[in-house]
Amino acid sequence: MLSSRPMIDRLAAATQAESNGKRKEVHGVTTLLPDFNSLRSTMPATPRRRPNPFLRPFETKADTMNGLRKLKREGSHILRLTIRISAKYRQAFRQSFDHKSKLCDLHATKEKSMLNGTDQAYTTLLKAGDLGRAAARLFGPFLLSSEIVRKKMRHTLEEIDINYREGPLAVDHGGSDGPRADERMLDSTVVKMPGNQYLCGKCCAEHIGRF
Amino acid sequence: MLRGTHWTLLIFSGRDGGPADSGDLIEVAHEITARFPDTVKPHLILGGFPIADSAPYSTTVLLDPMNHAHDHFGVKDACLYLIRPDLYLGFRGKLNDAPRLLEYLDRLLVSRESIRIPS
Repeated sequence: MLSSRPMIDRLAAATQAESNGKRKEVHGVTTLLPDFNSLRSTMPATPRRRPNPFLRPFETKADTMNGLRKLKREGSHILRLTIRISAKYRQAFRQSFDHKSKLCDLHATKEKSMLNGTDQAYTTLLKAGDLGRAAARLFGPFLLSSEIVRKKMRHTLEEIDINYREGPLAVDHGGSDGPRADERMLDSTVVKMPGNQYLCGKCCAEHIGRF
Repeated sequence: MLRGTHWTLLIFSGRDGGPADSGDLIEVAHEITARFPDTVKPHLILGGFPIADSAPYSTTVLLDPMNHAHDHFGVKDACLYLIRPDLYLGFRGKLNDAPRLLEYLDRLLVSRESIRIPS
């Protein structure tokens, strides 16, 4: 839309020339066209790009010192966050240790570290400093547009990625290439038909239910 | 279909399976229903376009003509999937693993045969 503005300007100039009684061809455009002056007034002006403050070179020595102090502060925040997450993982791992079996419950460790990690991530996002916000703005869209990340998030939210393989309640003898025993049941569409029969799939939009 | 406290057994016929091959599938469903009548609910999932059969099914039948469900579960041949009430898969096996499925259920559930009513 914005790229057509030069063309509209030319058309408006042509219309103006015609209204002044000087009918002539302006830049090869005929004047047998509607009044583009009104159209031009409705067109939004091309927005001026704001300079990115993070890409702007430091102008003075004070700016440089401020930037370095900010970098040091944000860097220490990130470092502390990493240490806290790893410490919580180790703590959860220690807490899951069973003295009788001399084993650690890795699933419990994963769940606890996942809860702590997401909690920490939300806290970081909500209380992010300038550098954190800049990093989120810079890398956020790229990360969130990645299909791998989106699939991982979707599966985590739907609890598909949580499994209890090798658990005592799972018996797996193969037979398919799909989900194995002690994985989350997949969701699928079921269409109810008259009587005692149903139709699986996406063929019919009526009476759609879920497994 | 899965809502509730019951266990659900999905008996896949396979991509080209149909009523002609469904005798064994129905037999498994009957066996399960007889031993765990209120606990396990079997459902037959027939893939492809099965030829219409006049014999009435005593268990729920799901038709899967476009093999969407079969593709979803990665099933090619006849297969058994047992779903626990917490919506996790408890058992997966081929059709000839049905005795193992019964062993598994016997280990975890109380069958009708094991209940003795005092006279």
